[in-house]
Amino acid sequence: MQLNPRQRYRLLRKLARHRSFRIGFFIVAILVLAAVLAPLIAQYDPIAMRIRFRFRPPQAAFPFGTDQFGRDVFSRVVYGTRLSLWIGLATALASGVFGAFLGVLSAQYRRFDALLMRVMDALMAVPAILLAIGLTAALGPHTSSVIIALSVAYIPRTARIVRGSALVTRELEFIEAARVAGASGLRIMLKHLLPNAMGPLLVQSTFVFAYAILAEAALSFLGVGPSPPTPSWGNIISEGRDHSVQAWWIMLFPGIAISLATLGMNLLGDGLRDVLDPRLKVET
Amino acid sequence: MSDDLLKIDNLTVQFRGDAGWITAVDDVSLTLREGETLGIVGESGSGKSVTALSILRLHTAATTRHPTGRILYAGKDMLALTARQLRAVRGREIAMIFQDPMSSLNPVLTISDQISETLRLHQGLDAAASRQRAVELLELVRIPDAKRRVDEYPHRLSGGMRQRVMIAIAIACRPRLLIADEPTTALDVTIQAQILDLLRELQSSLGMSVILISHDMGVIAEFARRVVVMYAGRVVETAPVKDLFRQPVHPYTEGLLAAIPKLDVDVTRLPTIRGSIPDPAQAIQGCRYGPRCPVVLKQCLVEAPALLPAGPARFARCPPRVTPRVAPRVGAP
Amino acid sequence: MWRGVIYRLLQAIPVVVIFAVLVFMLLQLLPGDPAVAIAGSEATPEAIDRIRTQLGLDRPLLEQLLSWFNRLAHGDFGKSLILNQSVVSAVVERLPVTLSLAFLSLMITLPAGISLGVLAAYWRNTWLDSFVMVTALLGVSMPSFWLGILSVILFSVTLGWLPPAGYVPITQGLWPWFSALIQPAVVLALFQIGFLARITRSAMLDVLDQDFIRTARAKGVDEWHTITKHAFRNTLIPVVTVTGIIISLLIGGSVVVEQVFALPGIGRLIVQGILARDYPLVQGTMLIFGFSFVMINVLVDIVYMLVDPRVRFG
Ligand SMILES: Nc1ncnc2c1ncn2[C@@H]1O[C@H](COP(=O)(O)OP(=O)(O)OP(=O)(O)O)[C@@H](O)[C@H]1O
Ligand code: SF4
Ligand SMILES: [Mg+2]
Repeated sequence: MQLNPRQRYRLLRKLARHRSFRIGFFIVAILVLAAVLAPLIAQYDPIAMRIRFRFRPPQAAFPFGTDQFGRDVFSRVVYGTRLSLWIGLATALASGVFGAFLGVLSAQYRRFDALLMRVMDALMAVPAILLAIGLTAALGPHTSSVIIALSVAYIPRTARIVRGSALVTRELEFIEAARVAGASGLRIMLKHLLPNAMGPLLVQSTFVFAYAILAEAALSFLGVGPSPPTPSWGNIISEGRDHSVQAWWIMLFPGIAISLATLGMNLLGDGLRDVLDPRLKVET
Repeated sequence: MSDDLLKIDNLTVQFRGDAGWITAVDDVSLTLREGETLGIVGESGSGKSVTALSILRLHTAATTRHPTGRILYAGKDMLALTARQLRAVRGREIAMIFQDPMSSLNPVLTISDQISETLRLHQGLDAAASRQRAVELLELVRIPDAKRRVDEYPHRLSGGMRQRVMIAIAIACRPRLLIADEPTTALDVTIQAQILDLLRELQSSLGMSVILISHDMGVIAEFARRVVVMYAGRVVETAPVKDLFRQPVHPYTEGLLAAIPKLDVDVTRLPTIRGSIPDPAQAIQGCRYGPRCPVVLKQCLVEAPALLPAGPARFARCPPRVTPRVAPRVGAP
Repeated sequence: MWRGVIYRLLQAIPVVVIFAVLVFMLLQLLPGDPAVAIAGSEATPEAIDRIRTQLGLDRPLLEQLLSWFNRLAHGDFGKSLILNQSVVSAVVERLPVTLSLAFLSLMITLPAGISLGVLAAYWRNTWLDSFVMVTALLGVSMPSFWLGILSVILFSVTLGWLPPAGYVPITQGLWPWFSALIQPAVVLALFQIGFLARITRSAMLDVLDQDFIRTARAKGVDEWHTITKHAFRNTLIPVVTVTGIIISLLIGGSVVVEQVFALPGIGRLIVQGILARDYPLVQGTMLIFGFSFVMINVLVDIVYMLVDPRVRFG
């Protein structure tokens, strides 16, 4: 997609009119604000324990109640936004960059393609979440391990999509012309294959963002995510689980936060797909 | 007239567009008598298919406004039929063949399945009888080795063969009216001739009325008795085929006739009329052919011309040509 | 067709080999000395040495890899450090649980996801379509473990209709088995239902726009048969291609759901292995998982050939 300013304007206008995109944009914008302004929004330290205040139900002073250590759940959820969005963003970026690189390379150099695609198939031989669990476990309970693990888990899917798009582009006449004119492989990849795969890549990366938020929560829940007391949405749920019957609020609100964030990214992805990639493909 | 098999009056069809409704067919009227062959001709996008599909109400309901006007078939008001009554007409009394044989057959059902379906539906045949009949029909449309072919899937057949299958499906219940929407456009020239011959033969042996849609004047000349010329969703001229060829009235018809490939020049696409058909979403002041008309007059661009009598049994939508009043020209001749 | 099947099987071999290498390398990822990582930092030097020799970590990498393949070729997927049991027997022991859960969940997912997608497509741009699509979107956006906990609070704790956790083998009766699994199976299915409904809807929309649907209507076929006979089978073709993904999502999801509902399945085994740093167990289980998936995908491709005559005879 090499766009001139007018085409870009038209695309943006279409997006701005797309209902799902608008709702998604609104949700994500609020979450980003919450993440950036966390210290201003949260009245309490998300980690400091105040046993005196434990198990307070939602009330004016603690809108989401307090947990078994007297920590304010609202503050923890707000700070958790930072971690979740950061993991989502970093995973989307990393898997997007590497996936695009491998996909384009694979489309341009056919001999490399056979090997690479078999490696990708092998990585996809276990469910993404399981691969991520295994990798995080090996790399240790840190935010960076989670990002690396999730990126590796989603690179194969992204690479496949970019490769598919690049293979179509390669058949187009102007690429043929560029090749005849002596353009190098690198030049063709950067100037033609990659820009033309940008649409599907952006769509896919948006969905990866959504999956990554869900997956991080699941990893934290299973106890292989970033280690407590880091306020991660998954951690809060996992810690609140034992008290879920009496103190339902501890786990209810972070769950809503996860759902909202994922929903917002999925809506953005749907909008982008409708506008950028009308072939209507859903990939996981 | 009471012996009209089909009579369309002031049909207007609109589709949902990005901004409001788009008129694809505007105030179209035509009649077809029992046993007659009517040709509808016009460039791509002139509204031929939309008109034809309206007869059996085959437009996508979600994006189409209910057509206005009237479509009378054998005394039945097609636009007022219930779904059940409509289904009883579809495939039994009126059958249709489409432009693209490659996509008009269901890829996951065998030829036998697809022919039998109509027979079982309308004639209540059982599986064995309808299969037997399917083979006969394939033989009738001259598919070699029909017994074997009947159990194959469409992707194994060539385009011409598939169109023959479509014809077999269409004639299965001996319809009174066959609508053939560009039945040969997607096919090679030699195959085209074979299919047209087959259609002509079936028409006389089965005594069907036929509406043949084409953008090829040559095909129309060979096949039809009367012609309706459409442009930008409207009828611009209608006449007996001989009269039309002898002396076209509307400048658009002239253009189409001039575009018939001569035998001695190579037969690629028609040396078409300059310019292109207007976007139906755009409003046009005055005559819709005005922007392309070689003999356009100032008055043409003011008021939309009406369809006026232009001789015995013929009409044309070009006032300067049918009312011999001389007015100053604005365009180049 | 047989050529296609054999070709597809041959294609799976390099994938399996590469996958085995990748799983082998998982151990090399451990920071520092793998033997120390496995034994734990408080372990005595003797314990670390024992682990090292037991896992062959003292030998050169290539030799380790070769013996890894040699073992796999003999069907030896390793021995768990904590369970005092071979990985294969541990997996076989837990297989019925995971299979039961996945089977039940799939039996819910397929009809629900497909019919919702078909309904939404047929009534596109109506309130029904919007409702189904919003539901589907929520399905793919809500974390299953959270839904699971909420569901337990509602159906087990508050209403007391279903057991909150645990597994009952089918040999102890169909109903006990079913009532123990239905809750996790539904929770697990929600994500896949949403995913499948979205796919089915878009596939169905594509099909409904095709010319042969118009042909069917022109023949006088009623709406019901137009959808069920003409549109549906064509919709199934793209849907079959995502069955592999669905099963993958299902098994991935079951790891989490087994944890919520305390079901002693393979997912729980892996998590248990990870938390106890029992890497041979994790590796072995992953291998079994991976090999099964490669086979499932081959099967899916074969089903695809059966559904689409163009591929079957092509
Ligand atoms: N379902 C639809 N929705 C919106 N617009 C439509 C629809 N069907 C047809 N049109 C528009 O109506 C106009 C007339 O189309 P129609 O298919 O009748 O042309 P045609 O004369 O049959 O041309 P061709 O030779 O290409 O078949 C075109 O501009 C077309 O874009
Ligand atoms: S009305 Fe005028 S513009 Fe239209 S066809 Fe006739 S001469 Fe041409
Ligand atoms: Mg047409």
